[in-house]
Amino acid sequence: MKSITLSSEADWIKKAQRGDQLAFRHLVDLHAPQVRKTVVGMMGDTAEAVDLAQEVFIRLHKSLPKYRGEAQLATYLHRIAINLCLSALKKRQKRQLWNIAISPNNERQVKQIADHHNHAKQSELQDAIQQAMAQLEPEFRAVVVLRLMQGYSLSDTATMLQVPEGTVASRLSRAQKKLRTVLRKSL
Amino acid sequence: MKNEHKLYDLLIQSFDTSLSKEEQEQLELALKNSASLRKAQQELIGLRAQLSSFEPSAEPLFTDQVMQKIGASSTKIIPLRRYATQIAAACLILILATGVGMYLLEGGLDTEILLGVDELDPLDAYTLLNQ
Repeated sequence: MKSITLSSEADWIKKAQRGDQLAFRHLVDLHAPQVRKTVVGMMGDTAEAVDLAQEVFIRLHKSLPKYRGEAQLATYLHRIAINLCLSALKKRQKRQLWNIAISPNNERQVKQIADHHNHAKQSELQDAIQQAMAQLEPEFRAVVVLRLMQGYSLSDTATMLQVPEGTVASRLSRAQKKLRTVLRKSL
Repeated sequence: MKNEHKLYDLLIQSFDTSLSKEEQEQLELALKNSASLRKAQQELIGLRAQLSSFEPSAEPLFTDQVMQKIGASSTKIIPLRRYATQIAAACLILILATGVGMYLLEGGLDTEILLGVDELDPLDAYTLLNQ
């Protein structure tokens, strides 16, 4: 349960904007779990996900002087996280296509590249969820992460992804159908 | 079959959007009469609960690593902002000191003194202009 109120978070932000590193560290501690949830939901539990989650806060540190509080800090961070993940997934897809192109018979290599999950640390069902999520296209994954994992409304999800609400609803519907089909045995 | 798909779509829609009164009644009736639709509803509830409670594995050194990376790439802009007030005060003092100095040396702060033309003879100006 969050013990920090919105007004005191604003105080921490102001201190961090004045260069107080301890205040910034406090903000990282506060928001890291949810940011990591978003990034891991998008990328899988991989070293790349750790780097991306850290990059979210590095970007925050650089942009903090310009942050005026129009959106809540959590929303601001998730927006950065989703954008970073979508870019990374595009690059990953291009790498996979390149690897298929240069070694067309190396299906095992492609599977290894696609198989990022850390099985030791996850429960079976959570692992199954990650594998199922990996089967969704990135834009569908983003909708599932924001709406179902993070609990944002359809409207907020649409705003953060800069797509119409109808598009979010449609992607959410298709994503749930696919996830349910993939996870049927586990549910 | 088509109707089943439509009802399934309605079921999924009901989780995230408001259905019309007619749609709501249609769905409730369908759930009452269809075991497969009720099963789908339970599976979707379970799926959404699992997604909502999804937690990645812990990373105890996460914050330390972030602060390290930031420390390595920190800019000089923040210290400058911190000293902006002091720099502005120093500039003001310099301007005032220059003004006081000029007053003491020249005996006044007329526009002509500030522009340096107070000792210029009209004849000199004429000469300069004709050079």
